[in-house]
Amino acid sequence: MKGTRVLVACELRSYSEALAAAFRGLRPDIEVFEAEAEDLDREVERLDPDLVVCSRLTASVEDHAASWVELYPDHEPRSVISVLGERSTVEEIQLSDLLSIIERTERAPLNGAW
Amino acid sequence: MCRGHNSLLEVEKRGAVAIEDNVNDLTRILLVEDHVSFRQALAFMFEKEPEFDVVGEAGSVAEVRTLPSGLLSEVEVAVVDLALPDGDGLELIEHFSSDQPQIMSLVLSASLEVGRFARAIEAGAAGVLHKATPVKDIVEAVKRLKAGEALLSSGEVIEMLRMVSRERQEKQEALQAIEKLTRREREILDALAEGLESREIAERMNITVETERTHMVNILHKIGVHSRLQALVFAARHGLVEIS
Repeated sequence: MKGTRVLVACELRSYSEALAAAFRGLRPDIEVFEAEAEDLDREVERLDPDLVVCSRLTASVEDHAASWVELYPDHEPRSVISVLGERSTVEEIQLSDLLSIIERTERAPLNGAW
Repeated sequence: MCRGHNSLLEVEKRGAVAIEDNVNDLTRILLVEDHVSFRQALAFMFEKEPEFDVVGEAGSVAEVRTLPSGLLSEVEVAVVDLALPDGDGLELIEHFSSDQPQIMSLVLSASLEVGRFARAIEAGAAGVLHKATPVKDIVEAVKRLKAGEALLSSGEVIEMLRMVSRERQEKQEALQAIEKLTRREREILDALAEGLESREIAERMNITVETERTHMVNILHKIGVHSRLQALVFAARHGLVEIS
């Protein structure tokens, strides 16, 4: 059974690296991948992640990922999230919120219906 | 008994020195960054290393100012974002330079404006890094600052200070040029900012095209540019007009 896969592809490298490291450290049971923002669509196709954290949402992310986080688009403090199809805006998203999104995504039905 | 007592004292003293050494080996860090999840992830990365202790976090200038002074006096390195929701990181760096001189400020910013980094150096920052920098290099920069190393060479610092000085002088010259503009000339710049061409500006101001062009030549001469486009850029940059 595939473990939960999280792809982090923020425009700012330090964001991707720090978040990926935090995910790996706090959730050693999940698979965490990093990518450059310009490789986002290609890596989504290749890795088929359950959750994508990115700076700019693309159609490929929306189509493929069960959940996604558009993190600080245009460097604004708000983020847009979609967890198993349920979309909302979060002001000042915290690391604990991102971990919660991972947990909620893991609880998705095994048949992938979301 | 005397020797044993002295030995005990020696052991205690060595222990105290060892503890003090460990405390001194710890780099005490303050993170100032309004993107909370990133700040928390960065804190996680620093805390993973045994030589770092993140003693404080803040998401705004106001939050920094509410930190206990006792805490601030412990900080050795502050990692500071320049774009904070309630002010500029530069003012924090200046505050640290004057009130908490033991704090070495490391700017971590998404800005691409070199002048901004230069102004941070002038304000007292010990180093400037872009957020595109790999985290391992950010961590390494903090280690180097703690070790007393300079992140920038004297030449780089001098060049940045010269840049700030040049910017300041250009700004001063621009303000002097702006003061020489007449009311009519400012109206023409407003019309230019609305995208109007020479004939349209003349019609709006009820003057001939030749008169409009004479005004424009005068404007170009006063502000030291060579074209309408450059005049527009100058006016926008210095707040003379608004581009909507």
